[in-house]
Amino acid sequence: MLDNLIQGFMMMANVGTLAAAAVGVIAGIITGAIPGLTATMAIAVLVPFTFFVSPIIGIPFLLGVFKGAIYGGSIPAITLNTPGTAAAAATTIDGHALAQKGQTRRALEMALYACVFGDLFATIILIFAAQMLAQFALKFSSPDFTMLLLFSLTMIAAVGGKSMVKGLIAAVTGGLIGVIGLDPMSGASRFTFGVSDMMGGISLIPLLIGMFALPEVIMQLERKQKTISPVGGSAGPRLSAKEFFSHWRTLCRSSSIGAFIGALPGMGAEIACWIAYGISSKRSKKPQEYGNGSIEGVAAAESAANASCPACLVPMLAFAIPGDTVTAILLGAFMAHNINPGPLLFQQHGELIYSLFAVLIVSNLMLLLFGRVAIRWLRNIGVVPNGLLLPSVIALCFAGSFAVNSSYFDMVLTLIGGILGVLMRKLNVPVAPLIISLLLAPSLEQNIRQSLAFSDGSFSIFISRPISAVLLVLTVVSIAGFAWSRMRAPRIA
Amino acid sequence: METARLRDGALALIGIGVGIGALLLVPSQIPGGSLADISEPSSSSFFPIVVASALVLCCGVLLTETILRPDNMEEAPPPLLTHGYIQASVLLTAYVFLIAWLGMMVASGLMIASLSYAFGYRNWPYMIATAVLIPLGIWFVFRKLLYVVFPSGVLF
Repeated sequence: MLDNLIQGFMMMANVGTLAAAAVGVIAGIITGAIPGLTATMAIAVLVPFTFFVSPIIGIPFLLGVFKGAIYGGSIPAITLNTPGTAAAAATTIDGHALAQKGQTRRALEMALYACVFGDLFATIILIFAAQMLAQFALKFSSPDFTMLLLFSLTMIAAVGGKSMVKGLIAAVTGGLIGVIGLDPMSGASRFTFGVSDMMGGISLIPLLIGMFALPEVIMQLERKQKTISPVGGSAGPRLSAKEFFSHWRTLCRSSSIGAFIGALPGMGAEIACWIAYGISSKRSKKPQEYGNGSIEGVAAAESAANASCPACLVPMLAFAIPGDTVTAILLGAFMAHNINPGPLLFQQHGELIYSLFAVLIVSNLMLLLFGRVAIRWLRNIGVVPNGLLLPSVIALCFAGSFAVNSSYFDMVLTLIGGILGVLMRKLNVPVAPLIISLLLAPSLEQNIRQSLAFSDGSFSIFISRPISAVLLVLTVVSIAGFAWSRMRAPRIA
Repeated sequence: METARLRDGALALIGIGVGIGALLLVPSQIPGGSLADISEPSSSSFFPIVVASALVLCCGVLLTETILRPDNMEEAPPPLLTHGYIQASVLLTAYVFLIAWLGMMVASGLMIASLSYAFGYRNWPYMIATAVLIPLGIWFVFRKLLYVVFPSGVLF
């Protein structure tokens, strides 16, 4: 493995790859630092750019954007009390409190170093876990993949929003949208209504841009939010190395939580940061400081949020199952570059995978470098007027969605996605299950049909195989568990 | 008074309608397809029938849950069709339509200016500069660097 990793470093040690990673990290930090522009939005808008370059340029760029955006969200969280990304929500509590006490720099530096620590921690886990899981996944056959996909979609639907039923409705709707186009096995057209643009199916990236990017703009227009003034200055006490390492227990614990949560389907940085923050406050020697400016709280939230980023790549690489919308976009980008994640990936593109791991480590170091610059220069980025910023982002969104297939129809899809996306949010129907289900529908259909063809139409094949039986039981138990906890919640309240 | 309960009920009914509609469209929209193909996994209509049925089932559960939910658990939901939402939807729909008529660059400039105005931004020099420079920047990056040809219109 060490030899492979060294080869990976050598493969990515060229100007183009390094430059792409650096540009990606910078773009991600800037985008994440702008309130209202989420990491998902950043990647969704920028992914079309990668279709015109080779994978060794495009993939490092996207990974850089991902890392940069998750960190960048902490800057407005601390200075503006407005998280730039959902993953920075927990950082807002203590980060902004520290800023109000004149300790902005200390908070920003802790956020950066905790971010780099958590990311590196989880990247090391990824390097070991991904290959082990991929080797285990080689034992999977169609029934096992069917149950794994159903379990993943169930988890994503259950934790994606307030209502599990609505999450399942979103997932099933995504599956229904996914059947539009040509049957992947027979080539028969389905629900195309004679429209030639629909023969290729509903394109994921334009719909995703519409459902994630446009609703943010529309909802900010509803609120007529203009700008917010930052608090605190870039001066103030700095974080010392001794102080940083004095929180090593919190950093390790939170990074472990982030890595574990990130690897689970449906979870992500948004959930990891809150769980780690909550556990850290309970285990802290100074719990009274939490909520009032605890530097330890900032460390817990940021290390967990950023540890979940490499971790969510584990199921994506090993099983081709995205754990959240960001990895769904990354999966789409991989496939667009003819790299098909899954159990065979390590066998067919082993050198590429280890170069990917090398990119993750190097871009983490770049994050450390550029993050220090961002602390100094980006604290005021939130004061760019929304009236100029958001319409410009809209123009970029539509340009990007057109560029995917050079299709006007894709821009119509983006528009429809945007209008529906706002309605879904207001009706508390989560969007993530719909998008992930849309991406996984072809694979799910293929595996179900192959399984039933093999068993002559008998569903007992899903019970007779031990792996699929276990996953089936897990799926049923998960649904029952979530339903029971939701039913009990109003009574406890 | 509109409540979350009414909205969820309407959502469930719409979902049931969509699911049943998809099932009814199977014979006409899938060559050789019929509802009897639920027992034929090799058929092109098998998976669409399964998914549409699952949608009807899930929406049925939501409808049942909504009916059985006590009223006193309700908190006032946010307004659905606000002025800002309608305004943005109309502007963006007009933008997409204008792309086909005026071309991407001109339509984008008009969209940026009108959306900035809708946001309440009134600094005209900056607004006009942004409406001109952003489309130019997008054109340069996509056309010259990425070789993407945007739709052109009667003007440009």
